[in-house]
Amino acid sequence: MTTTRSTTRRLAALAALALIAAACGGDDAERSGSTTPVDDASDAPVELVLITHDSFALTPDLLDAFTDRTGIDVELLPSGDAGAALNRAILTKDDPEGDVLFGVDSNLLGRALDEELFLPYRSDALAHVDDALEVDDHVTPIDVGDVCLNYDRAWFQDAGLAPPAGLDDLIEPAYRGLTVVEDPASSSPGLAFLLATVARYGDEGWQGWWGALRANDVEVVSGWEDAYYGSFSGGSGEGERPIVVSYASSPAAEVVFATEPLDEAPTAVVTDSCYRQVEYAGILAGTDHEAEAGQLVDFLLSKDVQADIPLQMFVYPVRDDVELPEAFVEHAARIDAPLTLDPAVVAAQRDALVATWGEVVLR
Amino acid sequence: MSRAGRGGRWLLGALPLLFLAVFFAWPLVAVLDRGLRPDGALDLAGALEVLRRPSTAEVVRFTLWEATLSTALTLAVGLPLAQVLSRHRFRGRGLLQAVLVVPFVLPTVVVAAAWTALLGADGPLPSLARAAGIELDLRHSVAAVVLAHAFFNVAVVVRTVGLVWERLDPSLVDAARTLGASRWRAAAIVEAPLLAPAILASAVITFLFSATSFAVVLILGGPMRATVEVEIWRSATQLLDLQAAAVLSVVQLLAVVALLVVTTAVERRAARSLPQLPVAQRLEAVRGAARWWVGGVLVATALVLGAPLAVLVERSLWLGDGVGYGFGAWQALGGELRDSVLFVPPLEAVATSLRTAAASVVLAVPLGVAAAVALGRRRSPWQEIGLLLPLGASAVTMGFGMLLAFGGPPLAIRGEPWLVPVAHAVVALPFVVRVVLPVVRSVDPAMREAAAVLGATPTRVWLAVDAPVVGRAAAVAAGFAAAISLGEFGATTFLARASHPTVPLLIERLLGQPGAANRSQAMALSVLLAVLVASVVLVVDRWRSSEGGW
Amino acid sequence: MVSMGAALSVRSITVALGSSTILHDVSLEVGPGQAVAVVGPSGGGKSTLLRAVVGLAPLRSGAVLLDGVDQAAVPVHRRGMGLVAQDGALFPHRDVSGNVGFGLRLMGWDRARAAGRVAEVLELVGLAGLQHRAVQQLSGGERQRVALARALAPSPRLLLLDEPLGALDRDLRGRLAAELGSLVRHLGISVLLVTHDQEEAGALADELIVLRSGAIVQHGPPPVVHGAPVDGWVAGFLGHRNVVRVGSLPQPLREVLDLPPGGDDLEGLIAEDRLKVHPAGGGTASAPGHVPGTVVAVHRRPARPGVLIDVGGSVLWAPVPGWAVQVGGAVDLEVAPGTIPVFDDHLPVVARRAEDDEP
Repeated sequence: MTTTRSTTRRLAALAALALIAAACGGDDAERSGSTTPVDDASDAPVELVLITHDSFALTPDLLDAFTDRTGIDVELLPSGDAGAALNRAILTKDDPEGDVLFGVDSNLLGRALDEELFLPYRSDALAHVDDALEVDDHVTPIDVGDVCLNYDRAWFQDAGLAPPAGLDDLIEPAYRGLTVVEDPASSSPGLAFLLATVARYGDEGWQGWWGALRANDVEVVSGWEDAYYGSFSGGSGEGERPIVVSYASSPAAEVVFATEPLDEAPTAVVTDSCYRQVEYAGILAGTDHEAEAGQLVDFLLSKDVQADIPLQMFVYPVRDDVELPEAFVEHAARIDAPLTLDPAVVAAQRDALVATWGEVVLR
Repeated sequence: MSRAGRGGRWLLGALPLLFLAVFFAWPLVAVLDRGLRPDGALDLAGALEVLRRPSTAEVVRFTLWEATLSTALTLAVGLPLAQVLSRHRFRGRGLLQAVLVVPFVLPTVVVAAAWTALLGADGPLPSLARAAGIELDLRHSVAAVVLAHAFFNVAVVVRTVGLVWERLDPSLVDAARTLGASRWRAAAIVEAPLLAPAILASAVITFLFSATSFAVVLILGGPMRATVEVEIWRSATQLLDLQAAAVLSVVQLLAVVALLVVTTAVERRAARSLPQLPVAQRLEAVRGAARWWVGGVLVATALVLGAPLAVLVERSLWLGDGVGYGFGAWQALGGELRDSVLFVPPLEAVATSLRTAAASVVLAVPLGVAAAVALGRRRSPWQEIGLLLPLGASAVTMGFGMLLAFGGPPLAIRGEPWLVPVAHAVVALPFVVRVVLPVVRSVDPAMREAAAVLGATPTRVWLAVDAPVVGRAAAVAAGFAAAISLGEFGATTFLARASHPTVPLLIERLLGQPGAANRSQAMALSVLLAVLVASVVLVVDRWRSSEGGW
Repeated sequence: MVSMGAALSVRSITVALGSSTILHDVSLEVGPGQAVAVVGPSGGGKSTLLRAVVGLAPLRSGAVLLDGVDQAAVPVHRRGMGLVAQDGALFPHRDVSGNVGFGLRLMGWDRARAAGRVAEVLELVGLAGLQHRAVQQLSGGERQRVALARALAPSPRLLLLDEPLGALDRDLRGRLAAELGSLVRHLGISVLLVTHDQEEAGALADELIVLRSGAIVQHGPPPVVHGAPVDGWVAGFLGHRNVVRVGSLPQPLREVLDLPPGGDDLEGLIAEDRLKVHPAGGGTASAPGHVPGTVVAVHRRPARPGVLIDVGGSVLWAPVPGWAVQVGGAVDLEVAPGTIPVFDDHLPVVARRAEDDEP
């Protein structure tokens, strides 16, 4: 009985302590990054918080080198997929969670700019970047990726069927029941693919194409993981459909992340189906370390990071002066003439497009 | 003493409420305020517009429908299993009780993959059906969603009901049988009414979990089917429509409150002290006709619960076409998975998960037991409903709410590592209350009175009469709280620091890119998580049965 | 309302749980309208015997017959036997009438008819008018009466009572045992009673069975078993305190008791009611059957009063006399002449002679 009582008391004391700690939490808020002004900024090492989407990847040594060189500590804050990360930033605009946001893609850019999330900044490194990628002085392009149809090479070989050459083939009877796509309402590659069809067939034609695809027994799933791992038959996919909406770099990832070395990627890309997305970074308004945040953006555009991007995030760097890794050159598809839409058009029509798509494909 | 006693009891009830006020109510109010008053003024017209959308009625209807079906199936699977585990002795019983909790924590993506393998066109069930001439594709169907919910929640029913069942005096059933009731009849007219409060409690939890489930519906239900929770997530994170998210959150909360009002009222009427044995009933050996019953229930359990788990193990060993089976993925778990900033060695993630789980148990169990004890003696339905409300709140709403509420003074605690176990404790607390409360209420007041008459102080009465019984329930609740923490994903994504991901976060990161290594390592890590949870529950169970209470 | 009880025949039943045998080759008969009590220590298999008869414990071998019909294929709920458990096992979610009418409703009786029968049996057990009382509000004695009424309501032809009064205090137990005895005789029902209390057995039963470690060691009418236990253990269990080695008895006592020749190593039972305590020096000391002794202890508690007297070599229990005895005082002890039971066993009867059955 004595032990019982002391245990109960100890637990109660712990609970009380936790509550007190919670109540006093404001005192040691220095740890939560930029939210509290630092009094003697001159000496204390600056800590920046870099908000990213969950797919952010980088070799850790590069980040350490940045800290050694500049004295700036970087804490990463992965915040869900690109859409969720952006909305978190918008929601916490008044008390930002971090100093720099990376991962706003072309389709989300309009919303981010409307909300006036970012401070204007122009990195010197932009000299090495294609001018066409610079759309606004509040954001800096970091990488370029393409959402494309992928197909299972072995499946088409065994079936004696030619892989699809472009979007037109998907609605042919020969390709009936072979395609799986993501719902654009819940998936960012799904949305990109919808935009690809809008870019390809125009405002008049895209609905007809989707209607035909639906008639050709397309499978729609909620997200990329379910589509690629659950429904797609190629590579590491475990499903039965040989055509999936994924990325231009997915075949390279299949090689890099194979369990045994592969000479050739098990999957390939339908180059005529690709929709280009540019990913941007921006300095969040409300940061207390604007100058250091600029250094962090420069770092993302540095040659080292740009060269690291292909095999970490499986997208292309925006700089034209970095050498691409061999595995990437060999297995990732280089898309020369991707489909694109004006970000302003996307921002204005996105919700309506998704709603109409739902009517055509799901109802 | 009496003054101190009263103060202590007040504190007992007030502490858990204070905890929820700070870490649940405040964030909730913060996010709803932002959504409903986008420009500082209440936008009623906008809110009404959201309510009038045809899609809103549709998701509400679907949510109620799938949650009702899920609860019914979970009870149908769980109650026979609870009977078998509470009344019969057989080899592997303890292990089965621990393994039951595993589904509860597995990442939905992983479970969905396992179910997809089972239910897809090449899976065993559709193959059997095809052999019988029926074309059956259960992927992306209500059936898949309902099956997965039963898979996730069956432990809730088995454990909550089993806790009462194993101590229900079997001489009542014997008496009924000698009076002319068959075994089934006796179960229906004697055991069922006595177990009703516990069954109701577990049904409410199952219903809430099923109704607010998100990833299961999103992945297994397919794009055609959305629950309110899915719609909230879509509005908040994809459509960037916070107003719709807030309106739907309010709808969900009101529905949950309505459900809790009804069920707490029913439960109060059904609650009564039971003739309970001081220790768990000596278990019957399995023989005679019981062999068919126990065997049948166990085989059914193995099919519903075991098959997906077996698929997981198999997938963790499958290294891809052309490579075949091997332990490659498992060997990789010992070291660094990737040379990349968001990856940590799996063992580090395991350590983070275990630390977080321990901290959230230490928070949730004492607070939950305190709340249950305070509630058990007083009739305060609103307090009870308030304590259960977090079960019905959307994880996305809560995540956004915490970001808003704790961003600045007076509580600038966003980014604090201990916010993760606190959030887990918020989720686990209602659970602890739900498990412990029926047990507290079932203690015979005559026993307390007897102890009091013998001169015991109220504290001693509690220690002598309630504590042994409550202790066992608290142990079960602790196992669940640990499991909830180990598997929690939604709120964790909002609060965990990049450098300290929990195991579910690491699994998600692996599955973010294509590649056989990513897939097999994610599966191996999921199996590891399953083993981890089963071990924690097994240890708690051992301790519970060896100690016979506290 | 006299109904004819059924005849129960238990034939060589063996009941085992896992590897341990609970009942070993037990046979017994309960004639129509007869009451048989099974006594024995806790853990001796008494409750299992009842559970085996009613069908709740499976038989490994042997048979249970009711009016000559083997019950093997008859499930518990069709056997029509009434069982009253030790703690009553009342259904907490039903009131008194819900409990008592339980079996009647299962038999398909309508509400009104059942209510009539409930009132009737409640009156029979002395609880008239308590129909709507919650069972939690009943006293211990009332609970047992309700349990009895519940078992009696469907008019079973065999009533099985498992320590029906065991949970009650001694006074109440004595009174209820007497009531119960007259009630079952009045009803003419057959009764198999299990108890560890022989007063209860004596008040109710026509036949006494002593069960020890799962086997029957003695049976017969209660006065016979009580007067002539088969061995020292049974004697001790039945409450006899004077089981002594024959050779240790003082000569004056041996002279008046018909002892077998050369039986000094045997044990003999001197029933307490054969002994009488007289004041020392009353002039009778030299008469046959009288021996001087010293009072070792006096127990005046109402349950088992007695005087413990050292007669030189043996210590004997005797009834407390009508005059004041004092510890350490000298007395004159008289034994009634005649035959006494003797047995040849070496069980530690002395240990059992202590007041180990006192609460």
